[in-house]
Amino acid sequence: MNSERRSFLKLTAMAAATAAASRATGAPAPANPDLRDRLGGGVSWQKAPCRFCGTGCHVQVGVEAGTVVAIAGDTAAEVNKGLLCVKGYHVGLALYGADRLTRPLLRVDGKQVPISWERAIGIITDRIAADPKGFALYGSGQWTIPEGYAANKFMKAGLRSNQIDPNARLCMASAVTGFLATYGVDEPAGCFDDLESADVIILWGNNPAEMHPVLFSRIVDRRSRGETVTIIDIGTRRTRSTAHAQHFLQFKPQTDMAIANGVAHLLLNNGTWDKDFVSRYCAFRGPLEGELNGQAITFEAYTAALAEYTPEYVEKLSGVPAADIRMLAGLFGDRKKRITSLWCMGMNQHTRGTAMNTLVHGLHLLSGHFGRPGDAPTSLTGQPSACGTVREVGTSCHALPGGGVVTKEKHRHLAEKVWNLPEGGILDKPGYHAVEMWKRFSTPKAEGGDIHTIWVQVTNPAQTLPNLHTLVDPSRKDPDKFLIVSDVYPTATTRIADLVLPSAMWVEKNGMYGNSERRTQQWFKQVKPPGEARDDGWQLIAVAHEVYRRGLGMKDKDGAFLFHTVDAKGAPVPIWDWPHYYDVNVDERLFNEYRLFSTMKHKNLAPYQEYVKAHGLRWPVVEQPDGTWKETRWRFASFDDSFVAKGKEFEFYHSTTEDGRAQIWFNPYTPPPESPDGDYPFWLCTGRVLEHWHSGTLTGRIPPLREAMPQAYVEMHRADARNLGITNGETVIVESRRGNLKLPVWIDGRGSPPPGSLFIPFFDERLLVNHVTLHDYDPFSKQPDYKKCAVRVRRATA
Amino acid sequence: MPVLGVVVTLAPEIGTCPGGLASFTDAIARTPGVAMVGEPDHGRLPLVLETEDREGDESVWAALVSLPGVLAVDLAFADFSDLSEPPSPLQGLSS
Ligand code: SF4
Repeated sequence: MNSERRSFLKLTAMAAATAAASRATGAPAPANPDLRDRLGGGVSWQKAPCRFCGTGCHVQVGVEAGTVVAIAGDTAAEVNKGLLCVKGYHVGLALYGADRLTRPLLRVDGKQVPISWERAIGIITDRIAADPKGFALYGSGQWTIPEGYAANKFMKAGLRSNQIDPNARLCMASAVTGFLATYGVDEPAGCFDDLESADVIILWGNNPAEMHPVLFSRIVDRRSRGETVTIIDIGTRRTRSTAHAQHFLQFKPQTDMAIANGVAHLLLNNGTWDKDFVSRYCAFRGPLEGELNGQAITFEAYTAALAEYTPEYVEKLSGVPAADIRMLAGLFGDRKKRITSLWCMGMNQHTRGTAMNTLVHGLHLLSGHFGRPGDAPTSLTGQPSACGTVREVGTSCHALPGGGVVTKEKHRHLAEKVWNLPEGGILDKPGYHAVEMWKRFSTPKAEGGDIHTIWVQVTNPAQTLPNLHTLVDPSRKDPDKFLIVSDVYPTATTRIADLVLPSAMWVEKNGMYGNSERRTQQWFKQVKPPGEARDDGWQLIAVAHEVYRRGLGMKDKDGAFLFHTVDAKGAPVPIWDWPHYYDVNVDERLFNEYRLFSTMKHKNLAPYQEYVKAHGLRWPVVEQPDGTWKETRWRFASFDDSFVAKGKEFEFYHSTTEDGRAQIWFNPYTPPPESPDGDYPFWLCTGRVLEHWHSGTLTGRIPPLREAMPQAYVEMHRADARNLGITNGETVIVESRRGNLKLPVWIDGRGSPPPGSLFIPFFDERLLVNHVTLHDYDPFSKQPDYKKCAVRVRRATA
Repeated sequence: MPVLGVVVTLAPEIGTCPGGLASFTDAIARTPGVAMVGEPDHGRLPLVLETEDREGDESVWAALVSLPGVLAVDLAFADFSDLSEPPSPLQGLSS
């Protein structure tokens, strides 16, 4: 590199860092530094959201000669104000792994051999033709919004089948059912702005310092500005987030429910609950087997149910000192304080995940810490579009776009209208949720295994499903079963696939994501995908057209192709034919159709072009009299949400009781399905680490990240290691009733589990911890519990 | 030769304790590959990192994170236009 260019680069780095530093302190947004000039004009810059977590940071992507050469945090983006974490820094490099998949591959005599796209599309169509009902689609919170919408329409309208479910079932389904059971509609009422106004931030089994680093930076920034913000970490092991917390409340796995009940108990006992807010806007609810909405209970019944959860009883169950339960209740009982709760996998990957979610919402409602900036119960997501693509587009087996469900006639009618289907065109019975789908795929047909083919897009279930020995491995021994995988790199799942399809990723295609604060973001294709890799959306539409061409489905009630697309002059465009896919903006066509669903549950979306201009907009996005579009930061609160009826301060306009009230739940603590015993004396928790994103297929290809965290390990407390005669770095066997794993021990590692407890990260596909985990799941969300099972440990050499 | 613009978030006591900021900036100055390019602004310090290779910038990043008084390190800009080798396949994987 010549010295002039290097000087340009240093100046650019300096300008970007200085701008980001001043932006993060709350200064008005400067323009992005003029990167075009500084890099000598050969580099073009465009916005895109980061490919990784649900924070949804915006990056400026620098492209030169068809290659991404630079990344800058986008100073105009509210989410990250010009900053990125270490994963965002590498998001550009993730495109350029040497082993990108570039050709369709078909398994022939045990080997994957290259075939043409035409043949691949023909094979998929043959599988559908043989038995459409046994064909399933397994998708992802990394699908873009238009891709997820196309997939949903492909299955539910095109094949008249609800056999579609996403990997998000494994990560945030319990948050969804928690929101539904409490407010009658999904997704947080607050937003990330709450982090700037909260006096207290409570992390419920959450480690944002590693999982959502830029969000966490927004919190710690406040401290560096001299503001007081109290962080309370309620967890089962110490993490990097704990290091920043004033209080660490270490609880025994599953007893978070008892802690929440203990705080509610004290609010009632101390008389510090918000009587005015509760009497005007809330009702009480208790559990009823098999009913997500439970049953109405009186305030007296609610109080009586909580009576046993004294601080001393909660201490006995949870191990958290009674004084700390009182401290929490004191904070919730103080209306002058603003409290934001954050949670992610700890509360969601939980066999009582729905119940636990409702209890945290209940604490905020009971105490009135709701609906003011800084007062919010807010769940976070790990994938960039778990909210946008899964929860909003409705790519689950029971859902329809815009928050609809297949079991409601009114919702089916809307889908039939938008998709121009005959009445009854949408099936009213949900398909199989993820665990059930894979169980049936791995069960021989004669024994009830009625799913014969799964098409996986943008996810890696052979690594991320629980109890892999049961859910994935057996299918590979059955010749009737056929696995199709669209991905960008070889993964644990592509390696067992019968057909592998190479996909375009991130800025190799147009896209839209929806982050954890209801923010819908848009970007344009900026570079070409390698070889024959193609958009997942195109793959779906190409197969859909072949199904249509053969007369097997994919048509509306007038016989037109469901993805029929025209150009600006009204001329048809054959978007199933790859050279024509970008003749029109397929994303714009799909999104503008999808937004017709969005008003049903007040998740209103603006037209596509509004997102081109913005760094994301938070729904509901409402058109103003002057033709502009206004986003909503705080739902259900009259000062910001246009759907709250005039004269009301708050209104829960999708209330399950249809009276504008949110539900305050009582749910009892119950023990977990498996606990340590004499044979399996340790708890095992699994999770993520800063350097790797989920199953590590992208971050594992970035040398600095891989070298910083080269392989999985088991964290163990020093006292346990001493008792077992295990030394740091020694290889051990961790064994559950389902499987075992051989890996090194890390004593006093990144996180610190207490005695009797272990932690293993799941990013390493050479060490699949999900051979060990449970597949018990929450009865409502069907989300499995990866956070607690019983294991034993022995030295590998013993 | 990656060039990075980063922002370091400092603990409030760095600014308030006598000599805290001076000893912190001394520590920064002693960290190879790191150049201070401005004064701390409300506890946010912009820096430029220039290292020999990508492994180098990762170790400088780790060194910054571990400095006493650093609450967080975030990225504002990264150039990798002269990346000589593409990232390699996952080690130990057959594809
Ligand atoms: S916090 Fe999440 S979205 Fe932001 S840069 Fe890091 S990985 Fe990307």
